[in-house]
Amino acid sequence: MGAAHGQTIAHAIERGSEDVLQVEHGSLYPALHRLQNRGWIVPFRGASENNRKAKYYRLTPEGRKQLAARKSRWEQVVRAITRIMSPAPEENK
Amino acid sequence: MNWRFLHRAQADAEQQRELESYIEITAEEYVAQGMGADEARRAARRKLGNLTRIREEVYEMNTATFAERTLQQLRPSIRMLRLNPAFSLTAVLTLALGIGATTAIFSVVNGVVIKPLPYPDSDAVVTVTHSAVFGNVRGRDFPFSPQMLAVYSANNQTFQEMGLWTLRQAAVNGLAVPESAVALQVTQGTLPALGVQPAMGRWFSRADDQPGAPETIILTNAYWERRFGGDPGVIGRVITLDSSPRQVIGIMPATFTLASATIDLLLPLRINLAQPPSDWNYRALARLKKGVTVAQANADVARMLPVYLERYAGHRMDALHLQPAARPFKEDVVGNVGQVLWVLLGGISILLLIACANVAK
Repeated sequence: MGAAHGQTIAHAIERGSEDVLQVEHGSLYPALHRLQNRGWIVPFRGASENNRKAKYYRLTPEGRKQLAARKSRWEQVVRAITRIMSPAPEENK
Repeated sequence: MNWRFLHRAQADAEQQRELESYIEITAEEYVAQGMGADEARRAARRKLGNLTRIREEVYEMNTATFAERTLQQLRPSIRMLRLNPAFSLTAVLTLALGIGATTAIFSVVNGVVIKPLPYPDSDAVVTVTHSAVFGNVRGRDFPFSPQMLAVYSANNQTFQEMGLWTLRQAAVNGLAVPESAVALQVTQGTLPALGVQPAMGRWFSRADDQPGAPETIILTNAYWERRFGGDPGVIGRVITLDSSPRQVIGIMPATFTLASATIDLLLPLRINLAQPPSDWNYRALARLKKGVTVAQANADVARMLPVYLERYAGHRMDALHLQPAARPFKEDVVGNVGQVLWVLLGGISILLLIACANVAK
């Protein structure tokens, strides 16, 4: 995961979710701020594709660790919920 | 410590820039897809949502975390204080004593040394005096005589105003009960040199000093309140002092003091140069002209002293070896106490530091 500015991240979320997560892009910024406060991402100045000044964010090593941890936790939860929602037939006889 | 709290405004401005940049970049993309510039900008703004709400949310985040973290940091300390009351009591007492002592000494230092005398531009007020040799010792306060004042006030180049003063007891006997009062005797120049106007009425004037003019008196605020109940009609009235009538011409303001004395009345000191020149009963003070230093005043006095000696003393005062010794009037009031107090304040401050260090451990 490389560096990106807010607008790229917002569009990446929207497109990556096949347009299911259609949120107002503005709500991303407080989230970015919170991540930054926790030291999981750091901002730096950069220029956009069209050479506009923009605030870029990069994952910190701590942020990368958090991402891995949260990702596996999320996968656990998803697996658990999937199991609950589609119970195995032999247990539900 | 979380310093984000202090940079909230700056962070907010930056947040606004970031959101602005989102709109620009997104609008550019929309334009590339064939949208009109204005429409693209509107669409980008819509996509972003409510700008103010976003900024508010970030702003509150910075505020709330500050309070929360401070509380978090304090919590262990509070728990410690509760678990160990003996230590807490000692710590609180040590700090209380340290702070109390420092505050007490500081209020004295402030009152005595830092606050100027209750006269306008009080640094310009000086005591004019001479040092003189008695036996083998040089004393610093040889008194003033009316003749000396006459020479100095006529010939000086450094004084704006100059006058003599002395304190004496006087008997007030025109009222219901006779009483003894402290009178400050001043020449015409003394009150102007201090720069203190009467709260009501007027200063002594040259006309008051003319032979045959009615005797005058000024009351201090405290005496006026005490004996006349603050009655403004007292101006112009005649009271009897040492069996002779005097007309009240003014009331001094409540803030008026001179050399920490408790003064009831102010009397004019009439100068009669025909009297023998041995009336050494006065002290002199002067207001320096703008920009004149005490050293310059002393040089001026050194120039005038021979004039006085030649006219009034001949060689009779040679043994005294008079030398100019003018000094800020403040020194008369504060004296050497100033230095002592500073040292005391320094000492007490170190005590407070030690107390802090002990408690911090």
